[in-house]
Amino acid sequence: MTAPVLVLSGVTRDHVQGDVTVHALRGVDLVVRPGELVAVMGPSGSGKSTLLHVAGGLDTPTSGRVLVEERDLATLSVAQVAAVRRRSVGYVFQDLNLLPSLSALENVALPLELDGARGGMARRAARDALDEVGVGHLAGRFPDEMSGGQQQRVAIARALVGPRRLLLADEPTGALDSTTGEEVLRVLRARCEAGAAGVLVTHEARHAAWADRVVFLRDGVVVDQSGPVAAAESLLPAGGAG
Amino acid sequence: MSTWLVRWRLALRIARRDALRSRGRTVLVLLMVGLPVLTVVTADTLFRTGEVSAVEALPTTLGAADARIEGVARSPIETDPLSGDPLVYEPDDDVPAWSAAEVLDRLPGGSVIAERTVGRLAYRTGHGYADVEAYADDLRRPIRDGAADVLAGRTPRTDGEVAVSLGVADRGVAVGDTMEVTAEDVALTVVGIVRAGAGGPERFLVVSPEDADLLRRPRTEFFVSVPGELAWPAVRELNEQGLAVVSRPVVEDPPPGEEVASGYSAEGMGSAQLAVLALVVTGVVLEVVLMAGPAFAVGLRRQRRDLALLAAAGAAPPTSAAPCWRPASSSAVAPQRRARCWASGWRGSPSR
Repeated sequence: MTAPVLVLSGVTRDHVQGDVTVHALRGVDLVVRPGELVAVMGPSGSGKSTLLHVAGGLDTPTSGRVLVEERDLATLSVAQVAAVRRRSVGYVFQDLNLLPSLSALENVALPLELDGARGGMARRAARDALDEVGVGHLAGRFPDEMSGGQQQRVAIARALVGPRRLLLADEPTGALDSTTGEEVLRVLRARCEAGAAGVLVTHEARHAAWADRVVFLRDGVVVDQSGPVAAAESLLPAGGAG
Repeated sequence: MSTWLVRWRLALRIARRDALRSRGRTVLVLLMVGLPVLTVVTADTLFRTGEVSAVEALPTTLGAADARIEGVARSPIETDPLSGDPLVYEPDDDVPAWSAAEVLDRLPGGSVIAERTVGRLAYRTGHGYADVEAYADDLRRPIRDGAADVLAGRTPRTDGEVAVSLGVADRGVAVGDTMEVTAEDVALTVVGIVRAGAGGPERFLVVSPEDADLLRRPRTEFFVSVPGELAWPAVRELNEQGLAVVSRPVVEDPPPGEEVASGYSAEGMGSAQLAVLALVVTGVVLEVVLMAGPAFAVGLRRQRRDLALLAAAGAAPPTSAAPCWRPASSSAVAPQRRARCWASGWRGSPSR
């Protein structure tokens, strides 16, 4: 079996606000392997977004270990964690994923340029990534010249440009209509089948159906892990985003 | 190309694009920051351009002489090396005036001396008397070359003649006119119009040495040419005898401050001028901060998402803060803004 791209082991994350401590994550274990798309579902405030932030090194766990491509983020400096994000991890958020002052091509090339890649090389890799998600013809457009679905595709291209193999998507279809949302998820699924590892936070069961596995969070605890969706919806209280 | 350079090019590209996308805001911020700075720079430039340094004023001060000497006292004095003004001396009205021969005796052999009398002279105008600076001076002497430009006519050669400065001529005096001076209305013929060089007075009269007795509050200055030069030690020796000296080599290369009595201001602004300038600059900086601060604050909110996106894409804190320099990197508040920008943008993902 191939080595996992992402491992969360006993991860907790507490937010202290004055005298109140909020336990956003409590002992979460998660393994994501190449080619696998894992959906994370749960009610609002269950810790879904926190899990993504911790997984990508944007946030630090209170305890537990986070390994990205076998590197323990706790042992790395701030600069080294930033380097992990440039080389291994890509984020896709609900909307406004792209820097408005950069073209699609430049947005996708961003992590490579931040990593010091020469402009020509970065742009070639970015164009390949755009072609892979079917929006190569939009390379020269700026975000305000693209539809929401096109922007999300560009964001997926950026998340997986160059050597990056871990895609962390936080409600990537939340701002899209259902048809466009399905198209974006299809692209996401295709990229995972091509070898990437993906974690998809969503509160819609039909979107989770695109995943290989579904992890259910409630109050920061993984209450169940299952195959796609249908049986698991009973574990969720009525709807809500995390 | 180094990684550092690649990252900075990226940051500058983002900053430039953002500045161009929000042209109105960019222009507003540039104006708010640039206008006060431009005002201060312009005022300072004009102030310094209008000021004449002691070196620049040397032709007016000395003419072709090596030094100007004035008998201030008969006891040791200390003087400002640039202006010759006495800083430390014991005033005594009964001190006998220095004669040219006495001064010459204290200079190296072969020195040449010429004297002029400086005082005040009132001349009659259509509205009364105008009181101006006056010199009883023979400007034809080679040692006085360069002290003033003759714009029309000539300089006085004998008693009963006067040359007026351009500032006086502009008030309706012309060559050939008769000018009545002193309360006794002594008639002098205007023979020329002259102009002092840089640093000289604007309105003055020049009469011949024979008419020196017309001047009120007269004092005598001696212009000397010496073999070699009157360096600072020689000036100090003359100071010891009560002679105030402006010497060309000393003005061109002033002694260190510790060798001069307190009160010596050297070149540039005095402490009072400096304090006023500091006050003005502080006020302008305060204005910039108060006016530009809100503009930056508004921009900061817009940039938080950009910074968070950069952080999510793998930018380390210094890189993600770099676009915060836009659009007015010369601003005095930029470092503060940059710190706040980084702090607010780095701490959180765009999804928050």
